Amino acid sequence: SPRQACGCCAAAWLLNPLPMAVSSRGNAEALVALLVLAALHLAEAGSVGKAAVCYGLAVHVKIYPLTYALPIALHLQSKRRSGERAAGTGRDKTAKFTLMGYLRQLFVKVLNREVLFFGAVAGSVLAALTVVFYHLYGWEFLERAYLYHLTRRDIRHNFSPYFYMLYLTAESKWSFALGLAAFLPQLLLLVVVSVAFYRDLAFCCFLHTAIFVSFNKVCTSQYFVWYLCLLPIVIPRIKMSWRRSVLLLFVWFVGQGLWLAPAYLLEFKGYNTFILIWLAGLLFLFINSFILVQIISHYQQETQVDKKLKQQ
Amino acid sequence: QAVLIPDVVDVEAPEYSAQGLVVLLSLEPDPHCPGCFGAAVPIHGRYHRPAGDGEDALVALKSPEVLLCCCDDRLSAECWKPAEVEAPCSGKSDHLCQWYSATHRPAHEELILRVPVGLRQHSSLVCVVTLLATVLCSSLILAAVCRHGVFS
Repeated sequence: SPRQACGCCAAAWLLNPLPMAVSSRGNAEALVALLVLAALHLAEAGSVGKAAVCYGLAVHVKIYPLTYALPIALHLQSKRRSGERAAGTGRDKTAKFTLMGYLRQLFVKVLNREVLFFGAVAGSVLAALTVVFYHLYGWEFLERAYLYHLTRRDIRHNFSPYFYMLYLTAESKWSFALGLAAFLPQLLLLVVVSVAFYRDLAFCCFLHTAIFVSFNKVCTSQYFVWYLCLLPIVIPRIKMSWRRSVLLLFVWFVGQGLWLAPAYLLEFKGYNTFILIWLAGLLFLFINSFILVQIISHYQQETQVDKKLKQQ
Repeated sequence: QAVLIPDVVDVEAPEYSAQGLVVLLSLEPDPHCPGCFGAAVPIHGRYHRPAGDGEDALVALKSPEVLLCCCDDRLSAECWKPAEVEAPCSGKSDHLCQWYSATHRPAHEELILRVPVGLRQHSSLVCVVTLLATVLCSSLILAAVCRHGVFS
């Protein structure tokens, strides 16, 4: 029944040991999760203004929801377009489909009234909060909250596949170019995923954050909570057998374990396990990509529950 | 009680761009040994520069400087000399006292800390393999999105 399904999916978050452990370490990730979920829920329900307020607040608390701007913009314009399509635009159907034409059509239509309203409200909320906190804490606030991320060079070991590459090239002339090269796959995937799945906002944002975290230059356990909070919403739309999903979960944890073992030896026992950590990081990237491919392959837009409700 | 100078430490900085810092530890009298004072300091190594020869970075752990305070009634002959260090009398107080360096003999030889470092020879291999792996993984995801995505 839908109620039971909701309960099960909510339990995937509430009774999950990973968010519990991360939240009790002192990170207020649950707060960001709440704001992001509120913004997405309100955007799908049609309350654009309230969604924009929650979104502005979420971006102020943590910067990563900024990547949701593109899916939300595409989603809002699609809702408006579905109303306009009823009026009939026969010319679009007969036009030959080209990639550039499709993209141009999509991005031109993004600049509609609802999207501009969302952008204006979210931008004002963010600007107002920035001004308030700048008055409270001065330059230190701007530096710690925003500027730090531009010049951050974290070369210590973490789950990211780029860690060893960045550590070895930290002082070389290639360091800037490599940092930029690391940014490109992330950017390309995020744009393509936004264009492909914007109709289902929660699923699109889940993929967005999972890709962002997996391909990021720095990756720690705390970042996993950012997309795990969207997993309960996405689970009903993924048609996958229990055995396969448990297997994927198991493989994900094994990937982390294979990284944690040499990292423990390096950090607490002083063994030189850099190569092992690097290889474990690459394996973990591959495991994450494999899981994402499985999720995308088994995704269906309409759930069984939606179909039943439509038949009634 | 410990006082850090400076009190804001960049924990993420690697060794070659980190500022040195001074730690003032107030020693407590050891209850089990009359006239003894004790303290334990945990150390966590920073990241050092990658090495070209595969050797670990070596950090010599020198003996700490022992300072005696010329305060209260514990005056000794050295207190008549000009002060060497001015530091807070005890952990939190604002009063500055005169402290003098005491000569001492370390009980153990100088300790050497071995910090593992990356190998510089691996640079090109690591860069190429990492970038190939990320290109491969992003192509896998891109292919899946193009096959199953809704482009209408």
